[in-house]
Amino acid sequence: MSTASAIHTSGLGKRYGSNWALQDCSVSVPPGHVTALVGPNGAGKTTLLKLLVGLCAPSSGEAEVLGQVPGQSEEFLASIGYLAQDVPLYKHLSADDHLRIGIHLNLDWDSDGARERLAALTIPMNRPVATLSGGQRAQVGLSLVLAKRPRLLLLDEPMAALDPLARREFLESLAAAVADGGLSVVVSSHLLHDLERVCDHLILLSASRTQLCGTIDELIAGHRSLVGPRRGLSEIEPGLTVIKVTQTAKQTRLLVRVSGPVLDPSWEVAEVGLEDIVLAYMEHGERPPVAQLVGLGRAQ
Amino acid sequence: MTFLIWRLHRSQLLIAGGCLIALTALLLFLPKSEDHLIETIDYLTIGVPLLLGLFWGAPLLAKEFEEGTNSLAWTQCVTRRRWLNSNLLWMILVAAGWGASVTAVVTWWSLSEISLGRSRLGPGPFDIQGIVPVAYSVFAVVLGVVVGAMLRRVVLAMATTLAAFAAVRIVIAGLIRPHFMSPLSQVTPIGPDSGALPQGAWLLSNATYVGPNGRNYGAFVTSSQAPAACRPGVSDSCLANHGFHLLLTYQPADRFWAFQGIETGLFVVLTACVVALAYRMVVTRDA
Repeated sequence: MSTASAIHTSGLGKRYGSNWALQDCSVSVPPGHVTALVGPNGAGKTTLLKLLVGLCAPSSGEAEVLGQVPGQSEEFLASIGYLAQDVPLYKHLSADDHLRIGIHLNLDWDSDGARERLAALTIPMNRPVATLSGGQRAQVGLSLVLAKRPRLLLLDEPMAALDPLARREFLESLAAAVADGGLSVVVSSHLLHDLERVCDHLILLSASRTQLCGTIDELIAGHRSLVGPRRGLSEIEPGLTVIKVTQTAKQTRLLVRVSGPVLDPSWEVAEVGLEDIVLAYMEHGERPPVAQLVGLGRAQ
Repeated sequence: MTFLIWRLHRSQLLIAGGCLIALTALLLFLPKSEDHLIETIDYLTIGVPLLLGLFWGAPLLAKEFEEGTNSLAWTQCVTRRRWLNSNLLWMILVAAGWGASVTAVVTWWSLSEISLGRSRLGPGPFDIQGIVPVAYSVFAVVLGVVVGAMLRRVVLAMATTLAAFAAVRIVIAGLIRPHFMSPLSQVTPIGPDSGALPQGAWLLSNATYVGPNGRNYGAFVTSSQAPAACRPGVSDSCLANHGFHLLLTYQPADRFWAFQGIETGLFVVLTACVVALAYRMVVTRDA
C-alpha cells in the first residue's frame, strides 16, 4: 500500500546533538499532488526534505519515497529532483554549462526542454549564473531539476528571495510543469499565501513536529470558527477539538476541528480560510495545547 | 563526472600548468651559481605539494559545502561514492603528475650542485628529489580533501591542511627518517681531519668522544673524566695522545633509494588512511 504513496513516513525524526530538528513525523502523500510544506522558520522543513532525498540519514523512524528508501542508489536518485534552499548553483558557470554537466551526470536528461523553457523566459544562457537575478537563478534551478524528468520534485523555499513578480513567474512555471502530468511536487515555504494557488495538499510542521497533513479541501471542511457568549472550555461539547481560543469580556471565539455538525446552537459557525487554520496550528505548536487549556481554565 | 571536474577545475589546472612552464623557463636562464636563488627554488619545490593541498584539495569539498552545491551534485544520478571516486582519481593523477614534473625539472637543473656539495640524503635535497615529492603531493591533496570534508569551510580547511601537512612532514623528516635503517658509525682520530665521512653521507649527530676503554663520553669530555695528564684544560691533542677517538653516526649515501622507498611507502600508507576517512565523510556523513 505504501508503494502507492509518493511520500510515506512513520515516526521519522532527526536529531543534531541533543536537539531534535524533526520529531515523530508521520505523513503520507499520494502521488500526483502538489504539496505545500509550511511551517515557521526552524520548524524542520529543510530537515524533512533532506531526509526524503537521502542527503541525511534519519535518527529514528523511516521514510519511503516512491516506494524506495531514500538513499544513494542511482535508481532512487533518478526518480527525484531536489532544489535546495537558496538555489545553489556553481556561481562562475553559466546556465549552459549546468545543462551540459547535467547530461553527463544523469541517465535521462531533457536538455531541449530546459533550453526551451529558459529561452521562453529570455534567460541569458552564457553568462555566469552569479550575474543573473535571483528570479532568473531560481528559474535555472527549476529547469535543471525538471530536466532530470523526476517523478517527485522537492523544492526547498524556492521563492524565498524572489520579488512578487518573480514569484508569480516561478509558480506559473511550476504549475505548467505539473500540468504536463506524472509529477508529484513538495514545495516548502514559510509563507502559505504563495502556495495556496498551486497546492492541493498541505503538510504543516511546527516546533519540529507534524501538526497537519491532508488535502486542502479536507482541511477546510474539517475546521470551523465558532463565536458565542463567553464560556469556560469545560462547557464546550465533546467532538470538537479546540485549536485556538480567543476570550474577550463577552465573547469566546474558537477555532475547532470538527468531525460532524456543531450541535450547540449558541455558536455562530463559519468556515475558516486555510491561512487562518495554518496560523492557528502554528501557535498551537509553539505552546503545548494541554498547558494552554489548563491555563485558560484557571482564568475562568 | 570527468566533464564536471574539468569544467569546475580547469582554471586551477591551467594555472598549475602555467606555473610549471614559468619555472622551467626561469631555470633555463638562471646561472647555477646563485646560492640564494637555489635555496629559494628548493623551498618552492618543498612547497609545491602544499600548494596543491591548499588550493585544490582543501576547497574541493569545503567550497561545495560552503555554497551548498553539494546538494546539487549529490542529487544528480551519480552516487556520492562515484562522485568521490572520480574526484579523487583525477586529483591524485594530477597531483602526482605535477609534483613529478616540478621535481624532474628542478632535479635536472640542480643535479651538479647537489652532487658536488650537499648530501643527497640530507634534509632539503632528499625532499626534492627522486619519488618522495610525488608521494608528498598526493598526500597533500588528499589530506586537503578530507580536512575540507570535515570542516566544511574553505579558509579554515586551508589553514588546517597547512598545519597538518607541515606537522606530518616535520615529524617524519626530523624524527622518523634518521631511524629508517640503523645508522652506521665511524671512529676517526681526533685532529684536523676529524669528521671526514664517506662521500655524500648524511651525518646524523655531532661527533662524540670515545675513550680507550670504549666508553662514550658524549660531545664533551669534562676535566674530571679526562685522564690525569690532561687536567686541567682538556685539549683535543692531549686526548688524542691518550687513546681517545671521535665517533660519528651517519647514513651512507648508497641508502638514498632505500630511504626514498621507505618514506614513499610511509606516505602511501598515510594517504590510504586519509582516503578511507574521505569516503566515510562523504558517503556516510549527512550532507
